[in-house]
Amino acid sequence: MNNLTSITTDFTHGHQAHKNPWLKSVRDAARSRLKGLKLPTQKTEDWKYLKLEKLLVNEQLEAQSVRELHAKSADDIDKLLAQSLISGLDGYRLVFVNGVFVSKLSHINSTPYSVLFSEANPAQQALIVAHLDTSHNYYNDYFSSLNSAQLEDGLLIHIPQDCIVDKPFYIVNLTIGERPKANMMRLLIIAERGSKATLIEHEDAPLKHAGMVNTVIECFVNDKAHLIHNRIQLDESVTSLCSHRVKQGRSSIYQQHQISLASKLKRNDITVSLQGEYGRTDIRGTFCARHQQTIDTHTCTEHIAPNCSSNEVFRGLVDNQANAVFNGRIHIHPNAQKTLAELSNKNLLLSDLATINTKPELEIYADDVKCSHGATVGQIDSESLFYLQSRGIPRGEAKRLLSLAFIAEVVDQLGENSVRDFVTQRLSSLFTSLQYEGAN
Amino acid sequence: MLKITNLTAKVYGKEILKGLNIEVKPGEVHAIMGPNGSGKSTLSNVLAGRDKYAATDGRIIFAGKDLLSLEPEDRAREGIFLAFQYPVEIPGVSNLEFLKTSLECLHTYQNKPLLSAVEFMKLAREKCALVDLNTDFLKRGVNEGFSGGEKKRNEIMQMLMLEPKLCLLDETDSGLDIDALKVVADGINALRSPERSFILITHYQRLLDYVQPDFVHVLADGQIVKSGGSELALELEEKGYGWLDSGTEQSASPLKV
Repeated sequence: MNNLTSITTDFTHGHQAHKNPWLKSVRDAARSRLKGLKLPTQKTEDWKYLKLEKLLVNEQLEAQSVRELHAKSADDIDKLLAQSLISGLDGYRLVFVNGVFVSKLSHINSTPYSVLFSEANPAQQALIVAHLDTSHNYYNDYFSSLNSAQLEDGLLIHIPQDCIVDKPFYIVNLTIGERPKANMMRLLIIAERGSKATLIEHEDAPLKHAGMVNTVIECFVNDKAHLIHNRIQLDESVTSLCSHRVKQGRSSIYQQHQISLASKLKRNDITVSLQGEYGRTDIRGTFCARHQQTIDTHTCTEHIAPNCSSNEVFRGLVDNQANAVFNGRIHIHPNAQKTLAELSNKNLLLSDLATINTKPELEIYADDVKCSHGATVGQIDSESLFYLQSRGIPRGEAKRLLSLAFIAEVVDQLGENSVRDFVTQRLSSLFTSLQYEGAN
Repeated sequence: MLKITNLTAKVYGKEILKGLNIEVKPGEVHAIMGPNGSGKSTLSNVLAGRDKYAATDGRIIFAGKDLLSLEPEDRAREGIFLAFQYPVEIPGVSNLEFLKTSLECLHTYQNKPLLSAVEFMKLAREKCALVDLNTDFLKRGVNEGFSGGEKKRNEIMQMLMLEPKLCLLDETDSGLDIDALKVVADGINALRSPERSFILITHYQRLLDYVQPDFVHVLADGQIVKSGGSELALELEEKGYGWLDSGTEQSASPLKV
């Protein structure tokens, strides 16, 4: 095995000196949790389709420090950034490289309501400590505990009550440099009562360098708040684990759009808990895996309060020998009467050797609810394929068009035009290079 | 242009075409009529190269090439166009994207200069107007939510855009009201030229009232059992296919045109 165990041991003993001593309580709590945790194996239900030990060989789970980043030339980063940004997006840009904030590339001074943990004032510090790791039950969450145990810095976006933010927050997270240490991203979003904001998270690896990202995102969408969260993961060379937790208050709306390209290993855990009445959750996602890539999406919608609704749609494209996993759980607690919950996962297998394991789960403890869930796995429709071919479009190109059409339902609903165009263009070029060997 | 010699074909293991012969010269319009199940659609699908429609014997020479050895896309690039009996709906692929890709593929193959975006849009709008389709439809998914008539008009619109050498129309007239039928016929007539040929597969005389064929063939049980001029269609309309039964035996060796 690799050095995972030794890293964990180091943290549990707390030998390392850290910045921001006020975060010590968060780190300490995570360390004590880690004492009881091991790297998940295939015997763990939530991880049964992944050979984690194999997939994580040579991966770095130790956090990159600020000092190491500064050794790199900033000019290089400037150039990389220019070619990887979403052009035409008018937003409050916040750029991280290997998990470390780069102020000269960001609009930190003009960006409202945002602060790095390391620059937080005492009131913000108190807010951060009060919220971190409180959105979710992390009793067996190994990787997010690893993130918390090494927590040095992070980004807080705190939208005040009744504030409607004029522009989206554009958060860029780039991985560059050959095998940098792990990028431990940490985002804390607090949308106060009645506020509205849009978040665009963009993860990329412009030089296709290998790397490791271990992200924890926590969103608190308070009463009557509305948060739109677009997450675009285009870093195909990066091994990525993400724990994404959302806690919603009364009459709040949380809308997520997720576009994810797979990599050697990409795992997304999305947990939303509807804790106040009349909350609404809307999640739309797509995942695309090719070659020998792996992508695993686990979602869990916790309906705790009554009269809430959730709608989740995921589309998967799996080609070559890639392996995809989708597990969507809806958990309706005894008190959550009049819940309306829907979940759909449709997948397209583009090759005989591609694999998808999909499992929608409903767990209902209330008696007056309306729920539906479904999953399908299919192949490209031969009638459609022939129709396109009969118009002179080569088979490979026809498959590309039909693959993109399959996920169009999700991509087309990205609210910002510039983001949608950017994603469409990246996906088009991705599918141009798809190899359709063995596809039928 | 097209010469089919002694073609036999199986669909799902069942022999449908049993030694079919036909020759189509440039500029000619041929109508193929015949009762249900006689093999009309099989013929058009074999020509276009659909999977599961396998020629088991015989030859098809199109523009000097062995058609059966070509992939469907290459047949289209060589100039064959099939107007589908049941055009498929493809949500998520816009008509615009589809037509543009198709035209680019054909023009590249045929060494023609590619159209600019502006030229393409102008052409597309023009052809839409010819078949009475609102240009808004270009933004919609291919055939998505189209009525039966709109689907057929869309087939003709594509045909007008792609300017094929040989147009196969597989029951394009069925299910059309009289106005739509006229639009379809106008589209066909607009394309008629000394270099371009048509094979119209139809059940009815109606379409032939608007598009005058040079030859009419009757297909029955996988063979051409009778051929003639446009007057044959009128005769069929009047008498049905029953009167042919007696003549079938004499023309057991397939006719040549």
